[in-house]
Amino acid sequence: MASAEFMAAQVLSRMPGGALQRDMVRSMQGAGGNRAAAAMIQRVIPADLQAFRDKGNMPAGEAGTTVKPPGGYGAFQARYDPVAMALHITLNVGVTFVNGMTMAGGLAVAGDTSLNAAALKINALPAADRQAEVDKWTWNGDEETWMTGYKSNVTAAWNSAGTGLAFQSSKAGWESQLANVQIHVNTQNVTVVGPLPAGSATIPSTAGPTHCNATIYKTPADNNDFGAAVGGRDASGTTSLSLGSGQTVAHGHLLRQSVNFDRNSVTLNAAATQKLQDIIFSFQSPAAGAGTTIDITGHADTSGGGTPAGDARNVEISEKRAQVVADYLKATRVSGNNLINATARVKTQTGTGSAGEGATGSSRRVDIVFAGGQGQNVAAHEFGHMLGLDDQYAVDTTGTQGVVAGTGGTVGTGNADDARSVTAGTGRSIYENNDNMMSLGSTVRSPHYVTMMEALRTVTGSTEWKMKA
Amino acid sequence: MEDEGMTSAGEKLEIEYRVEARTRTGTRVHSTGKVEQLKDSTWEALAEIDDAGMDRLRAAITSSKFFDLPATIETPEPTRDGTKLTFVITLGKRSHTVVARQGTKPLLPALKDLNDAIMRAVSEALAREADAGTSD
Repeated sequence: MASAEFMAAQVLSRMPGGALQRDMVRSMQGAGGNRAAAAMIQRVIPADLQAFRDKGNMPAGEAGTTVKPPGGYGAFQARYDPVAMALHITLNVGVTFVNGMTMAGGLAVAGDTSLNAAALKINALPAADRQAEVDKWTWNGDEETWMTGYKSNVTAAWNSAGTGLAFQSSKAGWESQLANVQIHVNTQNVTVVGPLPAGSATIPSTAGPTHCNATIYKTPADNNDFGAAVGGRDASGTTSLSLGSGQTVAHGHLLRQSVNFDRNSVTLNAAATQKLQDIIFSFQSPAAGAGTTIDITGHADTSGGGTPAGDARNVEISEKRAQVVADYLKATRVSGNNLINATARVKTQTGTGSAGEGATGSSRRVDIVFAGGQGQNVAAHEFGHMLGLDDQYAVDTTGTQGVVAGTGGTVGTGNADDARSVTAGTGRSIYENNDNMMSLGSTVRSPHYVTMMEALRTVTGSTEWKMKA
Repeated sequence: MEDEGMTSAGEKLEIEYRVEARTRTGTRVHSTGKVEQLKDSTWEALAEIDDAGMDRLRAAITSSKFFDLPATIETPEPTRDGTKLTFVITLGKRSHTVVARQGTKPLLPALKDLNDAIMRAVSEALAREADAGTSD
């Protein structure tokens, strides 16, 4: 394509929406050709916007500005390229690799308290089988591969291309000026080179300081038990991360709950009742009319099946189990609270009999799936903290009720980002157990861009930015 | 008079040790040596610690000075997520509960020693039963 045509196409693609503008451009192309159309359109771009674009990188150069979000968590480099319309967010991460499990005296020893249950499971195996299991929790030269996967995981989760979110100028006449988020993560295997000096710029080929010191415990890809955490910034401005290596894979157990039944029973036993009360407490919606969807599916074990009559009986049992759980969820209050709007929130309620099930107790169950059961990408969730964000999951802050524990807050109340997010125009940030990235799921929504919005405003020296519709 | 810091073999010992991170897990040790594990909101029988193992647990609790620890131990730095540890221990006539949060920094040495002692005692019991072919 000739340069004039290319320019016209570029200009055309950057015109603010609307058929009118597109028709105008096509008319100009028809009348005077691409070169003339491009020249005319360039005259349409406000001079101050053109001057803004002509400044180039903000701040100048490639290094960007070190941003330390309020709240004490996270740090990153920010740079805005007004020509490419890209907000570059860069994190430099030093990584220490630690085995999740070791062998001592013939027994598996957990590398972290959150892995105790996994160690006990291994130690219940015959001695000859334990080493092979521990090997799954041991780094064996796959550190570089893990870092590559980690970078790919968190950038895909937080980039505008993955989230569909972007910033747009709110200044009159500047509507075509966008800021698409591009995340960059530079990693250095500290296990090999030794500890990075606090606040140093020792990660090769990068600009800016070390923003995070990470400790990665080797865990199998199917394990999500590790108590991942992010520590507040230290005096040097560096934050800390601990993570299980298997947590770069989305796991779905928190939005997928289940209760078990006794054999041939459609009555809630004591354990099922307790579990449902915990579920009701955790999945309260913050207000009537709100709340995640709920899908309820009953199951039966295979005993008694294999004949048309037996299979039909198992379907009937599974449907009754689903019904008793649905009734309990809709009618029960826990600590004065219920699943607000539960009747409307129950999207599907079915019984599938013993299809695909076995003969064991875990087949006698009802699955309760919230918000479609999206898995949680823990690595990307912790990356949200590395960007300076607070948690959004809801917990019992005064006791032990519920199926969710951690550093969240009371359902329906604003978290530490709420007021700033409202001010920045990225929307409210409240505690609720749903599919939000900073709650129990992996969906990044506009409040999660608040620290990047603040960074954009800082580096461009303008508050005239909003979320792109 | 017996020193309050000393323990006697056979002295009553009850331990409930909960670990809450992405999932809620826990281990409960009864005076009889019976061990239960928290699984899906219910306690299930797991193993039996022998008398020698129970004596080692009593000694570990004493040496950790558990009963002198504060009821709440926060992480040394502000933390998002992480792990909540709850130790409820009765030894003889004394009972004490400690709730601790673990973030990205190492656990308080006294609690790490206690964690290690409990895990070692339960692991040895599990391994003994597994190697004897009695575990299911």
